[in-house]
Amino acid sequence: MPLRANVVRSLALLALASNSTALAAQHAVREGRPAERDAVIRLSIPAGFLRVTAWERDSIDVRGRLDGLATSFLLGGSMSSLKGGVRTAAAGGAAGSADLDIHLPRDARVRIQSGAAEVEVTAAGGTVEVSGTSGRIRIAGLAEWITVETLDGNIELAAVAREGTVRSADGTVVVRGVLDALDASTVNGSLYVGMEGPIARVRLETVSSEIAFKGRLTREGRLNAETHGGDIELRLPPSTGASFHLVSYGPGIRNEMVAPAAVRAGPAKGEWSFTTGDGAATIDVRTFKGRVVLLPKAEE
Amino acid sequence: MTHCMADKTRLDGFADGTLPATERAAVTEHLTDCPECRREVAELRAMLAATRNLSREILPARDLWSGIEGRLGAPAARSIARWPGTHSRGLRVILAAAAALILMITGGMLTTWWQQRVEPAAFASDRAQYQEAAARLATDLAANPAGLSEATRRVLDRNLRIIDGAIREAEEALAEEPGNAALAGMVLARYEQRLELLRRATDAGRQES
Repeated sequence: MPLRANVVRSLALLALASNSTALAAQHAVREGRPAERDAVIRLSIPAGFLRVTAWERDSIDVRGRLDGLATSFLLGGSMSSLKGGVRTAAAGGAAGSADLDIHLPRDARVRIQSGAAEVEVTAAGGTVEVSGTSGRIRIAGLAEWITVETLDGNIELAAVAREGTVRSADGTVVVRGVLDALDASTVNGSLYVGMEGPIARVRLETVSSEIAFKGRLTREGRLNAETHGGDIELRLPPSTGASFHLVSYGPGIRNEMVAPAAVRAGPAKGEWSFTTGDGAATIDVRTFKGRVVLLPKAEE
Repeated sequence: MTHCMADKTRLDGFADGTLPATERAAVTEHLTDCPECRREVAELRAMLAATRNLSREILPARDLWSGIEGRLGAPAARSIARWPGTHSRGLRVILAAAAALILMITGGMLTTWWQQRVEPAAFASDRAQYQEAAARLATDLAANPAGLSEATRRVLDRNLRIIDGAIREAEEALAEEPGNAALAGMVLARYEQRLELLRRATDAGRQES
């Protein structure tokens, strides 16, 4: 029993010591600067967590902490153009981590290089551009346009914006909200899109995964969806007036939206086409190995 | 190696002459002490000079790659100006050319798809250009092995294998039905995704290095 007690005591001391080392390696961050309402603000964080929120003040405010190799947070520039970034001790070495909470003017044009960090942005009218390698990225709120590029992270947009552009390789992409145009692409991640207002241009592309779109096109809207290995499911209002071109080189189509007699096969193997209503919109869908599924969406 | 933390977005305006005079003086003063920013401005001006006389419209010509570096269009140039980072000028040109190539061939591909026919020579040319552009980016990545972390490289390799598998399957189907425009479009779309993935990996390498 004494041996066991000693082991327990030693482990407890070790845990305490390692914890205090970690605490000692942390640095608090608190920076602030005036900034114009529509300032260009560039932020970089190699790893950790970054939360960016638009507010009604003409200033940028940064709070949080730095861990490990992260040595400082530098913020510089003019009122119209600022740059803030986490500096690490060893260039080219392991990245320092940070946990940052940043507030920006509401119309700021923010560009974020997020590395492996997880990012959450709540916009209120400016533009948002996030470029990372991994780590989940979530954008919400109102923006003029939003661009997100990552390799290995999931992406979620829940926004009202004129344009959304989303690129991931392995990550799943989920888009909700009201957009005029959406361009979303992955290699090995599913694409799930649910629009809450009419959209004029949609381009959805993946290689090995599935695509699901639920929404309504504008009168002359255009939807292109393509995957190699997955199914494509479209839920559209039955009143949609569109010219449809569907390709399923493998298992074919499942149509629960229009009268089967209206659907013409050909000209090549795995192709179908038909027109609904005035045919003003254009819908092109292609999958090599998956099925195309057309389902009616409840009218708004 | 340390990088200048000055506001590089102002360099764009300085290089193209649109920066307000009040800010121009401050940038001029900074440039006297900062060789990195001087180099940046020189690169931007060289790029601007190279693009200044270009047509605003790029038609999907069939001999794109041979002359592409001298015919970069507005979209590619804009993407360069938005991220004045630490790329060498050579790599910037490759990335911009890859982006321009995607725009141009995509236009041609959509036309082919709508016309429901395949022009074998045009298809072969488009495919060759994608392959050449991707090879250039892959060469650049291989030449800079420290640029990507091991984890990112694994993601890249896994996704390249997925795309290559899809290309192989679609090419085999196209070989059986050489006139199938949809299949031809799928093949080119996969090549485009391959190029786009390599471009993003190159950007990721810049962030990680």
